[in-house]
Amino acid sequence: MHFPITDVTVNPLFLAAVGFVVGLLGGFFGVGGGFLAGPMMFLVGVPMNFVVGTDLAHMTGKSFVAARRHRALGHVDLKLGFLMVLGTVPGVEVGARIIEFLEDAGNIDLVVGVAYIVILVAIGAFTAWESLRALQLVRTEAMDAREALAFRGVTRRVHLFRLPPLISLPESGIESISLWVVLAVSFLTGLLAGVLGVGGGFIRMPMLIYLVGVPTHVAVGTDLFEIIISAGFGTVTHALKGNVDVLMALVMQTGAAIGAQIGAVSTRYFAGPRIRLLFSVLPFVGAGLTLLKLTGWLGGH
Amino acid sequence: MKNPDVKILLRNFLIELAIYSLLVVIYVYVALRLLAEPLEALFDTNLVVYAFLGLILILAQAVLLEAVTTFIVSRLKLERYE
Repeated sequence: MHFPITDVTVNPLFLAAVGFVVGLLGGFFGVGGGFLAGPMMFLVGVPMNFVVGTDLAHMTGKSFVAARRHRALGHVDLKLGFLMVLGTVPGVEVGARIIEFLEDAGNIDLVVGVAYIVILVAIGAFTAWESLRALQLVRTEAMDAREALAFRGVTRRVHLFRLPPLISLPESGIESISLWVVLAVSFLTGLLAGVLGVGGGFIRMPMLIYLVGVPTHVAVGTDLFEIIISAGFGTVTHALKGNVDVLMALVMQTGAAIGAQIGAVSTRYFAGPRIRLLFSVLPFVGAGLTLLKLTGWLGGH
Repeated sequence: MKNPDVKILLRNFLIELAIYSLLVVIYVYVALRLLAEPLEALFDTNLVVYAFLGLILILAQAVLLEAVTTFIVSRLKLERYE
């Protein structure tokens, strides 16, 4: 099928299949999946300027479907989601400005790429270690398997910070937390996303669990809700610059829609530590793909 | 935690996926092909309308596709994976 806006011919079934896989991962783990869809689109000849914008567009629709499913399952904390947006948007903006500033120093792509790999490997390794420990605790101490967490020290310390206003997040099971903590965490995830040029699901999902103390299932659903807003905003800004092929995004979304539903519903059959253990593989995949890009294998530098 | 019969769920999922894929292939080749020309014209003439219309189309299609899968499941009375 010929896509006149990007002027490329791509098999729509391939795009739908990529959408399906990314949708499945997104629905299950609450990530956007740009780390996978981007390189796949680039490999079939989609120009780089269209890759990011079109990916964001299909991500918006996919996250919408998955978040609706998670909402039906009681896995979306809308209050937290809206508050997170307040911190994420300025964070992304500041991150983008930092990148603009650093670009003058030269070789910024290599620095950002290496930082991205280090952060992803750290997140993957930590999540794998923690979830394996949590699973061990479930076996040895008969802990509730659904939300067993083996790393509560930082969460406790974060909750000791009581600067007003204090808010409650009943859907996340949090009685009281400083609003500033939520804003700081969302600003930090936005900042990292802006600097690294990614959606941020990789970073936000673990931070919601380990810093804010949100249960894994709710972290996945709430992250997807936030992706709808951030990716929707990104879609419009990229489209205004002429970097979105809406037709291609619609084709990708046909696969992503059913994948996202399956992914979202599948979380019901997995306890929190198992979701986190499976999730821990994704950052390593993302790091590997970035390494390939940096070394030129995926059209990098 | 539920412990569903995996074989039945898998069979139902494959039936749902097969019907959905067929409908989607028809949809892509008929409906989306028709959209190609007007979208290209809009892309060349008015990026602002293109940007917002694109977002609306994405969200509308998301609702439509979700409704299609729900319809397939309820119409065939398939016990779903949920």
